[in-house]
Amino acid sequence: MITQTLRSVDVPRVAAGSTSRFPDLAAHRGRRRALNVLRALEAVGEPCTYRIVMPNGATVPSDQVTDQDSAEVRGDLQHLSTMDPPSLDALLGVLYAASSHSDRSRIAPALDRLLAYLDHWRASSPGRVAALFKQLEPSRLVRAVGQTLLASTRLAGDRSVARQEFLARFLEDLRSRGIAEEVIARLRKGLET
Amino acid sequence: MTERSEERPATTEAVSHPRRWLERIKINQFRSVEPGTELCFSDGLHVVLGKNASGKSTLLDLIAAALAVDFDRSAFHDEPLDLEFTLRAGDLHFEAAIKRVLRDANASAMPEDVKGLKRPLREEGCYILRSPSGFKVTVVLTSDDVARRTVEGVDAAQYGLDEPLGWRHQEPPLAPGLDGLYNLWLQGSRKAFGAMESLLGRGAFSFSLYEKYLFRMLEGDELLSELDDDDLFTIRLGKSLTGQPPLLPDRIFEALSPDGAAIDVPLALEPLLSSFIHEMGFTEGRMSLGPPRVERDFGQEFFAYSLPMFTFYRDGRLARRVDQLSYGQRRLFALGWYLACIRDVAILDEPSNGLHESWIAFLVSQLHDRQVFLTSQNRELLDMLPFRTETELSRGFVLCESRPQLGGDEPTLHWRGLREDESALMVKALRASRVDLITDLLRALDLW
Repeated sequence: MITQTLRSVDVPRVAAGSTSRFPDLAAHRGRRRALNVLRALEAVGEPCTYRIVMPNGATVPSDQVTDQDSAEVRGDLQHLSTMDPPSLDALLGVLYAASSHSDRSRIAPALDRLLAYLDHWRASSPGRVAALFKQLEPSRLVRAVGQTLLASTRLAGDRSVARQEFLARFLEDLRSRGIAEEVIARLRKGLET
Repeated sequence: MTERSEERPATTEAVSHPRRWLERIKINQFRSVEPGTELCFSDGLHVVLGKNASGKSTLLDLIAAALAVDFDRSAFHDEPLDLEFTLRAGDLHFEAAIKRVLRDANASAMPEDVKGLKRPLREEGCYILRSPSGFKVTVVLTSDDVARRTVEGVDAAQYGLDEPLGWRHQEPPLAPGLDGLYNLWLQGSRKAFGAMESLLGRGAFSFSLYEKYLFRMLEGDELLSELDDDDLFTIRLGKSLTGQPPLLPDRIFEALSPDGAAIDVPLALEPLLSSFIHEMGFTEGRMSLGPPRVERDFGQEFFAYSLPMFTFYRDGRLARRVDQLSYGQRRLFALGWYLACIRDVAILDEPSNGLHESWIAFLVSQLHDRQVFLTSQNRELLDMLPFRTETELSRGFVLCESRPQLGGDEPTLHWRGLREDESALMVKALRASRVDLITDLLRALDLW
């Protein structure tokens, strides 16, 4: 029997919103580092918790930890998940891993990463989105991933050859899985640009 | 440099002067840099950002040359050059305009410099020194006519400048560095010497002939190889003649005695260097130099030491010679040596290469109290930079971009600082956040 140890991460409490002084960049870096550790542990499913500390590492007594602290941690984790797009290789790994895992609850966070990637690169570097279309193999994905990718790029005016080719491969894969032709036709109509 | 040691006051005594820094540079013509490019700096930290081949290293070369007031460097040879810049040291301004144009191929024979070498280029320098009291000296040097000099607003009698000013500087006039200017005035008039020195602060604008080699940190650990070059690193110790190579920190040089014996000195004499050695994992470092050569110059004998050997110790026991260090250790040691030799500025091209994150953090912590220019593509390094005020942040970046030209012409280099709206937006975003870092915002604003 394998017993997992509950890891705890110290998350520095950092004040934000003050207009009177220059931000403490070192404190930002410390909190960012702690939250990245927290995200990494959560991503691999390792049980973990966190403890609020002062920017200098001093412990904050438990009775002084507020709901605001927890809300700020959640908010910053959410912020980090959207501001830091994964590399293409990392994204492919996340999508394939989530698709092959028996725990389907992993699909939702993987789709979040996919959407973050698209949001980040669609405007500044469309080539990276095209590369995603080219490299993604529908046969290794659950249907939701391909469908989300195509749906989220349908209204972006993306008429790239790479997207069209991916759509064709995606539909062909559905066909090979025994999906009814009328369903495939309906999907084609909905996903074509 | 030994001969100048006779002319100047002893250099071994502690010299305190306001540190010099580059306040402004304007490039009217240089390679493919956009004409009229003007950059303003603070006396603190600056990061030169841009993709590869956007001119970052070229800008560092220009900055290094301006700080040394010396454009007689291989990076600038055979190229037209037209720029202006302002140096500051305390309240003193030093304004310079340098212009070099390619000589007309049909012009008469090229002039020769003092070494008899033909110079294919013409270089002109116009220098203005201004003090808070209003003292102002304008000097114009040309390669064709060294004698042309202009003096403005100077009470000659007060400063002893009524005496004839003979051109006695050793350097060729085609490379009119500040050192030449210094000598032009100070050697020409003993009386002026004291007046200028009290006015400028001793050492405020004195430059050694070889300091140009130091102004920009060499790649990797090449600086350590330079120490093995006799031309660049020879210590001269005599009764009345001394010569400190620019690659030797002042405090170590001051501890040497001219007794002709082999030298073994602790590097802890220079606290900055000592901190680098501790960071490298040693408790002590030493420099040893074998028995010297006896040389003679200007009718006097002196001992010449070269080929230094560095050894590193842990708790009194020899741990490594310099050639046994890891690449990262050699790199860090070279950086520490550079910073110990150059006190006023640091010009560092990709200083984080080969260094672990913790050593990058250590290096950044040592970059205070000097004007710093660095390039880096390393996010960790950029996010560690200790900007503390809005002004520091707004003046702290130079953005470099290479813009392609129609018709296949060479791309134009565009260099600029942060605009007010960009820096304001960055500060606003940083204030509103608990986790955002500098590089996040640079990327979000598509600046890097």
